[in-house]
Amino acid sequence: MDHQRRMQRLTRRHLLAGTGLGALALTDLMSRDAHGKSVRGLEGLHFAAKAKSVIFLFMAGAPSQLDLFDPKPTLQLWNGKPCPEELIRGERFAFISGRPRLLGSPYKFARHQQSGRAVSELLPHFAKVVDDVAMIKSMHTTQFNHAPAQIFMNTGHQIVGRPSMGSWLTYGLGSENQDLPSFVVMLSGDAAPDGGKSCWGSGYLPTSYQGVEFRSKGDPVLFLSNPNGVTPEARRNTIDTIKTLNGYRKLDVRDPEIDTRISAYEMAYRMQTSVPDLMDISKEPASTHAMYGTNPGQTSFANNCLLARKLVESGVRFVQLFHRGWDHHGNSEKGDLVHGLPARCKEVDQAMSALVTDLKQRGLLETTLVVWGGEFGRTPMNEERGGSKLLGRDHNPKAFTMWVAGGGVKPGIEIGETDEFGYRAVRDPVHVHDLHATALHLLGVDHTKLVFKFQGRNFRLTDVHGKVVQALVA
Amino acid sequence: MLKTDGKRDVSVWQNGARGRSARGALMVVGTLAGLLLAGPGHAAGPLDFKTAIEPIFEARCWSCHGADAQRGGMRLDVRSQALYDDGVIVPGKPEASSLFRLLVAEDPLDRMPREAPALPADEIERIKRWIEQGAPWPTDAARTPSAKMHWAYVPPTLPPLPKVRRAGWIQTPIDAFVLARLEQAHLSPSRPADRETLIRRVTLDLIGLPPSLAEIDAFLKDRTANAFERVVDRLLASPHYGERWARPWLDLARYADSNGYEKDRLRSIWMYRDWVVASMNANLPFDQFTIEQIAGDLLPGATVQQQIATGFHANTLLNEEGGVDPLEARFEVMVDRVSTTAAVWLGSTLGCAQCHNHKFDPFSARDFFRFMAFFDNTQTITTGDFAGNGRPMGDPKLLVPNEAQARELARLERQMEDVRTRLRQDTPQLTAERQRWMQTTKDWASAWHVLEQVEGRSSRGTRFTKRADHALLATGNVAQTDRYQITATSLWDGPVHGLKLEVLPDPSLPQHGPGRAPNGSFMISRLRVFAAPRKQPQAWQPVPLDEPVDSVGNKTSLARDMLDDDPQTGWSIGTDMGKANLAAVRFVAPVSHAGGSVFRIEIEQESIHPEHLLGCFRLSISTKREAIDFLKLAAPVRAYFDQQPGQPVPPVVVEHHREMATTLRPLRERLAALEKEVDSLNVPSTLVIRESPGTATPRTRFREKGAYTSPGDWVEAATPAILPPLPSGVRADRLALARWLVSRQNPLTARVAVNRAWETFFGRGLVETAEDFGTQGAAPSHPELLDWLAVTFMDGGWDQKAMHKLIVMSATYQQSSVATPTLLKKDPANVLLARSPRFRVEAEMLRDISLAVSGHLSIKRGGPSVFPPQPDGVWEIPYNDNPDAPRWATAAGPDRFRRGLYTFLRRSATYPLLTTFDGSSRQTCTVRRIRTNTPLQALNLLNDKAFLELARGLSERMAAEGGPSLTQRLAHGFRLATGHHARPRELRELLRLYHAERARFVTVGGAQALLLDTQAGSHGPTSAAAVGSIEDQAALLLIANVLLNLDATLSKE
Repeated sequence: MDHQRRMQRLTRRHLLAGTGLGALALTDLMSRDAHGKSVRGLEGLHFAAKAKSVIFLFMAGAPSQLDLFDPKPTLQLWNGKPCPEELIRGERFAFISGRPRLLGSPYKFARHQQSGRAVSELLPHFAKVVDDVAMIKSMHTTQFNHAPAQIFMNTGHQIVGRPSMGSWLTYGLGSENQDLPSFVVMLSGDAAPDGGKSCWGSGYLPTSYQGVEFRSKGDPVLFLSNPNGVTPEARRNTIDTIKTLNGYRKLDVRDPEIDTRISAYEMAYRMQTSVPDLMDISKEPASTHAMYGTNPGQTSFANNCLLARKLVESGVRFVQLFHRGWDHHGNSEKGDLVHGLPARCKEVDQAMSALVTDLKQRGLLETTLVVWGGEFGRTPMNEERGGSKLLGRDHNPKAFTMWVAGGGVKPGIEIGETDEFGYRAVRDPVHVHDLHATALHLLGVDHTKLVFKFQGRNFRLTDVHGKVVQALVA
Repeated sequence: MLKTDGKRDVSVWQNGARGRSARGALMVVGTLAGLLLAGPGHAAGPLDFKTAIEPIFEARCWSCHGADAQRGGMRLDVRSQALYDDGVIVPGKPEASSLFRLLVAEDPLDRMPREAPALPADEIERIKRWIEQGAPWPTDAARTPSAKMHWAYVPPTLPPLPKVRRAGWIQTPIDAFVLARLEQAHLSPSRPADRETLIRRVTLDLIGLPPSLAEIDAFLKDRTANAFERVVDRLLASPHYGERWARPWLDLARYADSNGYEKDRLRSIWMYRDWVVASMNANLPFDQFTIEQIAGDLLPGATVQQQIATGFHANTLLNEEGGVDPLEARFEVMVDRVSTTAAVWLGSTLGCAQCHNHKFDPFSARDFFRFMAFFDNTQTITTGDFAGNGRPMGDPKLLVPNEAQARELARLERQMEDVRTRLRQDTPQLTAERQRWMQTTKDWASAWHVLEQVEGRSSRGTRFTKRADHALLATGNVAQTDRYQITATSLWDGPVHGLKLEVLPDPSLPQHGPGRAPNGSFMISRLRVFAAPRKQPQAWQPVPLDEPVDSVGNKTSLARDMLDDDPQTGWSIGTDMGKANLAAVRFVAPVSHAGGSVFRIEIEQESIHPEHLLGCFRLSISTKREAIDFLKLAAPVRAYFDQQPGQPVPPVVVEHHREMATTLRPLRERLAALEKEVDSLNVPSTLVIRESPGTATPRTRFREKGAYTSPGDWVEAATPAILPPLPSGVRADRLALARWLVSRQNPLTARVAVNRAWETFFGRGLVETAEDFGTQGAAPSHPELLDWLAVTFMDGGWDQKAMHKLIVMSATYQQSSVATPTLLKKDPANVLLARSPRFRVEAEMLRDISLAVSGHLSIKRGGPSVFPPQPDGVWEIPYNDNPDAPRWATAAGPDRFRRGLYTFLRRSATYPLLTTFDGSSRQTCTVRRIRTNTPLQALNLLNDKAFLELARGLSERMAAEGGPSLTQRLAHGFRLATGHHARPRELRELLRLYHAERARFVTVGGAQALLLDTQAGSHGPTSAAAVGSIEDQAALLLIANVLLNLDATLSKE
């Protein structure tokens, strides 16, 4: 019934400011069902939007807040001492057993810039942009295993099958670019995130809302390249023939869906040019490469950051970067705090800071919400799994730090606080649902009103939870 | 009173008019009139619940205690939930019934109804009298559907055929219902579809493949009256029918070839897929089809096929990530089984009731868990190396040998049994060998001597007392870590070869020890031994140790870990608390002093886990070098040799010897070889559901707010209260549930099933929300037609092929799909069916059409899933970077060209065609796929190697079959792809493209490269050469590429 109602809205257009109403955008087309009817979630914004697009830098594996953003003098004092009983009583851990010892951070922290935010020595570039970002030190979640927690962070539910945040937003807001998908995903680091493609899946929303993976090897988009031996001119010619013959068929059967198909082929052809152009960073000025630390032709988080800026500049609604490999348990050198963590930080520090600066310089930061963080935090206890002498921390859903910037976020502030060990969020806790609610709010969407009817009830990104963190909103 | 009821009349009338039919409402009014005459006025007579009491509940109570809300967990619309047991209604005793007490409470804060005036005295009086009479309330089964009940919960009855004006158009009863609606809307049906369109439509619908040109031509020529029916019968008998109709069912069953989640390891359950195909082909009646999938294992004498059928629910996801709680994972599986069963058979969103009573439909949270109880009595097993950290969480595997394998298995089994028999026989040689072994072992056992003169000291205040058995028992302060220093004296002056440390339980220790940690555990991080002559007790020499032995431990805590220098590793006993265990070491060189020796044994306990200190232990030394080997024997074997001599030899000792006897080695090797042969048969397995043994009624725990972490009281299996109960006297197990699902009393199953079939044919169900027949779902567009189909389906013995035939034989189905401007304006979504729908076919069918017209379609049915070409990198997912990870091994030969149904489906890395064309990743039950049209789809069809190879095949076919002239070849290809003859203007356009692209290949090249990349699609060098030069071949390939992208090819018209 709801579906039918949505169908009946087909002629009504959304009323988004800044959207080219005349142009049939790519996601516009994508957001049509087989009858060419809109299945868009929203017909207008609920609030004035501060942000138009989102760049979500997802640090899969969960970076340690205690070694990057959340210094704890008490924890330093307790370094190496057995953990107080009350910290672990009745808690479930993934790997810690018995009574673990506390672990102070091996890294130095200093206060930076006007805002005086504490940042670890592992993130020297980030230390310079702290005035532009808001730190949420009291994030918490309900999941403590990677895959469910990542799926939770991306879809608001721990079990696969629900739409991701990017899907919800493109469903709700559509695209502003005719030649590009409106939800783009890029991967770097060890591999794809543990949560797999469900992290950018469309769940029960139509599949056209799923994130489109831009790949750094092979075709940037699956099947984008013409077959060997087929030139762009030949492809143009074949698409012309398909268009002509489909047009003839339309005369016979008068099915409006044929027009949709003709448009789809036209846009496919345009994507064949626009996507490789956009993905080619070799023509960027040397100063840009120096700023981001990019190397054309490689798979790197830095390259993806630069691409994210280009995508947002081109009107892509939601760009999500996954950088996997933050799971520093201390069970191997690569996976410990002394070797593994600094290496990861080096991979992201310069580029993520450059992204904030670059967006700001181009006046894009005002309309682009940048979100950085993992699926949960890490424990103040040293894991010492199997007697390992390497330093490492177990999963901790009770507290972690994320930072957000731009898109109507109040810059230079800090939200919330953890206890003296950095173990639990104690002041102004922000749940994943609250983060989602706030992000939607900044994009002009009331999280309780962006819904999709499925299996008999209205589902939403925040399920039945979530409250906007007003303190974050500028 | 009259006035009150009079008011209610009106509301009932309105409900009736809004609901099903005015006639139903009149009937209710009639009953009410009866009530007014026979009811309360006659104080003496027995009260009828239906007429005297329920109306009061309905008017006064149901808004808070009914289907929509159950304040305080109280519900007065269903007998089974009216809490007779909890004292709400105590038959015969109104004063003891809280229902009555609350009605008459003086304090308005207590009185019911809340915040409303008290009930009229006569109504209270009536309820009181009813309770006095024993509060008779007909069971839920006897409830007659009231006009208030949502249509879907009222069992369907066969409606009469509606009267229509254009009776001549009608071919089946379906048409009468459709036409009646059209005439109401002043619309006329469309003319019949042309024959080319019709045969392509029905062939795609029934077997999922396009008709061959011969089949089209035969149908065009056949002018007999039942020509179409013969086509339909041929298609229904085709083995491809099952392949086509299995597809939507496999979406419901969430069939996939991997476990899902992070690890997403592969699983073998394709036999379930083949079972679905075979059942569709054999036209297994839908009731039987249902029973075997829900409870095939519980059928008396369940066949292998019936067990395979239970794979329906074994298709659930399995989360094998490291820190997952297996019981919680199993709970999620159960939740999915409930939701899926409800969606597939009941068209109901029972899943909504997991966390709270359903907000819109009459399902309570209790209903949800009662339903879950049917499924929660199934076996789980440990799967894989990591699954559940050794605790059971997966479904059992059934080995299913084929005939040849079964023969071979039987042969091998006979041989193995023969070998096993011989292994069990005692021969004189064996007996002699055993005697020798036992003597040696006795010698070894008796070479161990308990150190009786022992003293313990601790660095951290532990004190030691001695037990009668010479064991030391630690008491006093329990430190975080400690080092025990034990001094022991032995008078033995011969060589000492080793040291044994027994750790023993003692009632004074936590969990009876043997450790002092709160859980009874300990960890010895280092063991060091020093020796000195008894006469020179200070001349300590370190004793080098080797050959550590232990009776218990796990990978990370073995006796050998006591010998390294790492204080973080050591020996501990895992979870073996409260039991005796031992560790022992050999001295690299024997220690021997005239007059005896003194030993200093240092036991360092530096675990990161605090208080992991040894509590009770005993030390022994050995006087034989080989004695250490004795300790490697299993505990029960050792026990025999440690006893006083003269005991009878227990079987375990004899068995142990057999396993190592030299005499039997040839036989053991023979058995191992045979077992290897069994393994090498690669007998396929499939996941199944199997009931746990026992006869108790299946039950599960209620979970507050649906959360696994809040287990409540036990609930026993039962059907949702709003629906009929199980027949009385039947054990409420899965088999009962399965039979109930397809019983005539169930108002939903048949409607839901025929609606899904309708949706597959028409692209839209009569109830558009095929997954939700509840109050929030769409109302049926043709309610009488839905009921007529449902009843006809059941009356016909749940015959699926007959139902499909009935639908395709209708004039409704056979209409043209041409959309006139009037129809587009008046009924754009084609709800009323004044024309046939026209839509792009599903992902699998897209592949199948291209396969069929390319001439490559493999007709092989069933077997393990296959790997057609797929771009690199799609399977790059977590844990796929190790060398043992599964790889996408692109098939060569016929398996490259199997129908889409057989493409390997890995949940976290779905085949791109499925992802792009609205396919399901099969993580959860998908009742409908929502169709979209996107540029990514265009790219997929234009540039995917899998489709280009098929274009290559088609181009060679065009040349081979079309004729010598280019025009003939183009026309042939067009007809193969679309099923229609090309018109001149279409041929002209294809010719233009051909010549332009051929010229381009000649001038700029590329033909070779294109042909090379599509080589696998060629029908062979002769076929390729028959097309012409390489430029001819490449140009014709591009034409075929275009043909496979035409809307007419991709659409069912």
